[in-house]
Parts: sequence; structure tokens; C-alpha cells
Amino acid sequence: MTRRPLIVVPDGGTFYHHTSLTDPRIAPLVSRTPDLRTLSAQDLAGTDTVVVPCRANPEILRAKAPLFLSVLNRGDRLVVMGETESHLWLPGLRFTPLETNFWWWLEPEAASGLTLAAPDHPLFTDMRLEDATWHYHGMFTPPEGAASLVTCREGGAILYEDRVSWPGPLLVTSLDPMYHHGSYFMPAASRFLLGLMDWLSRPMPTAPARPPHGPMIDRYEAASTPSSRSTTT
Amino acid sequence: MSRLLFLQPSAGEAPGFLSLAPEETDLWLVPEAALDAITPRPGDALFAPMHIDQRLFARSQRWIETFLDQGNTLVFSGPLAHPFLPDLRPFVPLPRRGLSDLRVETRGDHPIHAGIDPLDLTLRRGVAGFHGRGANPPPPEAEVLAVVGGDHPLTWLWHRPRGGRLLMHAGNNPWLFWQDDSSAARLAPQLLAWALTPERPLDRRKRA
Repeated sequence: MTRRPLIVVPDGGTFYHHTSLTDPRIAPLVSRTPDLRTLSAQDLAGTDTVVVPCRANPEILRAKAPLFLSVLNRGDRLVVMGETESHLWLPGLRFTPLETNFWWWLEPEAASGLTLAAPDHPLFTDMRLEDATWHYHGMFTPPEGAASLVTCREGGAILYEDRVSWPGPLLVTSLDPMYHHGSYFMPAASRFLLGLMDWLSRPMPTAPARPPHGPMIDRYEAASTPSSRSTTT
Repeated sequence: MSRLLFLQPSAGEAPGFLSLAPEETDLWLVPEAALDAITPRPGDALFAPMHIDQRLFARSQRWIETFLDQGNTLVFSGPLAHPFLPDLRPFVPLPRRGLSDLRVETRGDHPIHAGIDPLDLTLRRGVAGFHGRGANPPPPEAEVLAVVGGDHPLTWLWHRPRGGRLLMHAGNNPWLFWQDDSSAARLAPQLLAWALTPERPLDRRKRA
């Protein structure tokens, strides 16, 4: 038995958050889009995955950081997109800002400098490296044991998954796909966003994969409350 | 002295293009959550750039109406997701966004576009689309200053019947080009100069 994961994406109120979260290909995959500014623990209760959208206001994210940490600490997934100063509010992140080359593809022998570092990762079942390729604003140095998914020529990762630092998996990127998707400007960014949301919403087992004690129980009990049941399958 | 209120998602440094504002400008950087705490004054110009929390801004509708009632100037940029006045409608993207569909043309002889070759607004390094890729639908009385993709109103100016001016640009911040080596660099200083020159009562009477 499987069910759709319950995904929450706080809405930062920008035009591109609105365009992305109301996109008919994305909206059905997202259970709730609470206002980031007033985000509460209740908004994130019973969720399987929380996505911090790109370019969300870092000042607010810093204030709300304990809520996002609680998602990881209870064993659920946190996805953090780029241009959110995540290294200032998420412990353990090492970020190096880079000068963005918006024009690399116009240069002779154009090369993005990006490499698919984990082609067997399930995110890349349908997504290609080209879908993560537009421009990037910085790179991360993942902690030991974390998996770089897409690396850049400067040596760091622009997308990585950390399954060792927290009880829950953490996916971090320096890419800003919602901004470009909502700006109708970068087809690769749209494919990246749609591919990511599709992967995050793949069915998951209905029963907890861990022994029936600990925080996972609370999660599945919360997921079956009337307020959230309509989104499960 | 004209006061320029520049809205920012959070407290931060002034964007570089603001150095082009007329010397006597009284510049206020306003964190978006603090807008309602500002008391509007006649002669103010408010710039609302593209990365703001539009939902929060729209909650300030009453403040915005009071601001405009005083005859002030609002410059808003970005696709409109959360209309902040009853006369406004959400962004409509261009139906096609190929190179030939993204041509920008200016209309009339508005001073913000003086001396600018529309081709410089259309292309940066040969790439089209930076200036805008759709329209925020204007009220019927608005004056269209620039179109994209044929007749889609990318930039327009609306003299609000109850007072105030709204300059709407449905794309990237129009000061994007301020350091470009092209005629499009004129847009930022000309926009600032226009916004910070309050409408004279005579102009208002002429329009009426």
C-alpha cells in the first residue's frame, strides 16, 4: 500500500511563488501553501516534506528556522532552494557565493561546468542534467557522508542530499527554479521544478518504515487527521 | 524636497541605481513589513520592486489608496500576482515567447523613454526577454508607454481618477539596464527624475 506524500510549501508572497504554486502541474502535488510570514508548527504538522521556496525572505526564514529544523528532527524531509541564505539559518551548511555567469552559453565552446554526480539517484529517473542547467549563484560543500547530486566546475555542489546529519533527509540546492519558472524565462528551470516536485510526490509506503515507536508514529497519526486526510490517497 | 520610498523585502543596502536619483532626493529604504508605519506626504514617490511580498503589499491597499489620494507616484515592477487596487488584474504572460515575440516597442514620447532605442530594451547581448514577457492588464484610461510582442501593454501610466499616478511595468525592474553600455541605461535616471518630479496642478488641469 502506498500513498501520496503530504507536501507543504510555505508561500513567500512573491509573484513567482504564486505562479509556481498555482501552476496546474504543481498545485495538485502540494497539500498546503501557508503564508511564510505567519508560518506555525501547526502548518507543518503531519507533513512528509516541506519545501522552502527559492528567494524566500531570509530574514523571515531565520526567524522560522526552528520550525524547519523540527521537520528534520522528527524524520521528515526538508528541501531548501537557493537564494535563501540557508547557510545562515540551517546548521552545518557550508556555502560559497560565486560570481554568476549569466552568459556562459554565449561563449565559444560553451560549457556549463556542471556534472551529474549521482546519475543513479531516483531524482534523475526522469530529470536530466540539462534540466538543472541555467546559471547558479553559489555552491555548497556537503558534509561528509552526504551525496553530491550536481557539482560545478568550482568544485562544490549546487544540489546535494544529506541523509546523515539529521533523522530526516535534507535536499539542498543553490538553484532558484521558482523565480525563473514564474518569470517565464528559463525553460530548464521549469523542467527542474516540475521534475523535483514530481519526484517529491512519488508514492510512499503507508506504514512507517521504522519500528512502531518514536516520532514516526506521531507523524502518521497526524497525517490521518480530518484536516489533512483529503490529500492522502 | 521629494521623498523616495524604496520598498525592500528586508532591511538592506540601497540598490546601486538609486545613486542616479536627483541630488536633492530624500531617500528612504523601507522594509516591506514597515510600509504601513510610514505616513505618506504629498510629493512622495514609492518604488515597489519585483521581489517584494506582493500578498503583503496588497494587504496595504488602504495605505496605498491614501498615498495615491495625495497625488503621489507609485512605480511598481514585476508580474502582478496579488492586485493591490480594485482596478488591477493579474499578470498575463505572452502566448508565445520566442525571440520574435519578445520585441519591445515604446509608445508616445514619455520622458522615461527619451533617447532610448527600443531594440536596446529588447535585447541584451542578443538575448531577448529581460525587460518583460507579458502584461499586467491596464485600466481603460491608462496610457501605454511600451508594448511587448505586438500590443501587450508592458509599461503603462495610469492617472488614477481619485488622484495619484501609477507607473506599472510588468517585467524585470526597469532599472536593470542602468549600467549597460546602451541607450537602455537612460531608463533608470529618467524614471527616477520623472517619478520625483511631482505633477504640477497645471498638468492635472490639462488632463481634466
